[in-house]
Amino acid sequence: MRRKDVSQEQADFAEFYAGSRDDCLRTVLAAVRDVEQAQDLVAEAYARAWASWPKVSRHPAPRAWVVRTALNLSVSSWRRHRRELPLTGHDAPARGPAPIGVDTELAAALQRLPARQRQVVALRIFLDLDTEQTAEALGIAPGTVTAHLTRALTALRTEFAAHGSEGIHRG
Amino acid sequence: MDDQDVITAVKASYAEIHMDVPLDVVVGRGRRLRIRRRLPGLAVAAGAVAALALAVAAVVPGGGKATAPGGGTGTGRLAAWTIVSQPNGSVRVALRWPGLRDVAGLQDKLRADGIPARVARIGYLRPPLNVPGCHVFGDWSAGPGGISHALWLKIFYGPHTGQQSDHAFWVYPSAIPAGLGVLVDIYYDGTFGLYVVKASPECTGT
Repeated sequence: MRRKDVSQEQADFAEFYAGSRDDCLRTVLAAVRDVEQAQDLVAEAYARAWASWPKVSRHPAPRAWVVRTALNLSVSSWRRHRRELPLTGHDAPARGPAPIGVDTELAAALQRLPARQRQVVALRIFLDLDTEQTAEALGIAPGTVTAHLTRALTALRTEFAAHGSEGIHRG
Repeated sequence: MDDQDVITAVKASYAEIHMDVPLDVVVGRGRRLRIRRRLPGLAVAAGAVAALALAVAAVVPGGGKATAPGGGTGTGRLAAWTIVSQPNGSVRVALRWPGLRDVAGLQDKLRADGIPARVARIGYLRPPLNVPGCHVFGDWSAGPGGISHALWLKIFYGPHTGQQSDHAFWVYPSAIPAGLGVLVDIYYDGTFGLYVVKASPECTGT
């Protein structure tokens, strides 16, 4: 590859990173909850995106590629740790304190959702993916995405109504 | 409250979450992955040779060439890291995860072998560019304050690009210019990042 092409490739990746990293982190954070783990997973996913940038840059939704890679890494990491950590199951609601800067009640409501519902909500909200793109990113059927999203939003709306808007505060 | 209100509330609640990992760190890691993928044949061949060397060294205690396993304690536990000096003057370091806890031991051994080295478990969240006591050269470009890509390759790859793996790396001590050293950043999953630093008593012990 010529030097000019390499420079353009680097510039393209730098622009992609600057413009998408926060949204990708928020999406993954909603799924895994722990900020440090989310940062590591997303950074590793971006590193892999850069390693395969000629391919990833042509992906119809590169941000979804990054998030899916990060979530897959999360699953791989969980599989390596499962004999050491007392997890009750991968689909169990996430536990622990709300990430700093995130509304505590809202974060708690989000974390009470099953893992797949959290992922669907996060991809739709933070990456603005449509149903088809969300389905592709998660490797599930579009109809399943719709079902998960409907259930998740219903659950969140119920939680918010129970707490009232005054109960939502920053932690 | 309708669905759009829920979406707006969730989105707003994460507005203060930002990705702090610098581009240089991501690219440094990605570049190593990229180089390895370009020459998979060489990587496999070199890995097989190195694995054979390690196996011989393990079967013949003290019979290897400067073999230095460390970090493992107790019967039956694998060493967390192993250093093997190669005939071409390079040093191969193999890491095993999750046994790798003794980063100080690995650092001491590298220094004892004449490599001005710093080993740390820093992680993406605390970028190695900000290692206390160390001046780390960013590896995005050879611009002001940087080092050349060619030098980085000479130090960590020597003449044989493509020989690195996820859990082993090589250092070519003879390629390290006076006044410089190496930083090994151990990631959360036992893989690593390799950087060039200014040698100093605080950073590399020399």
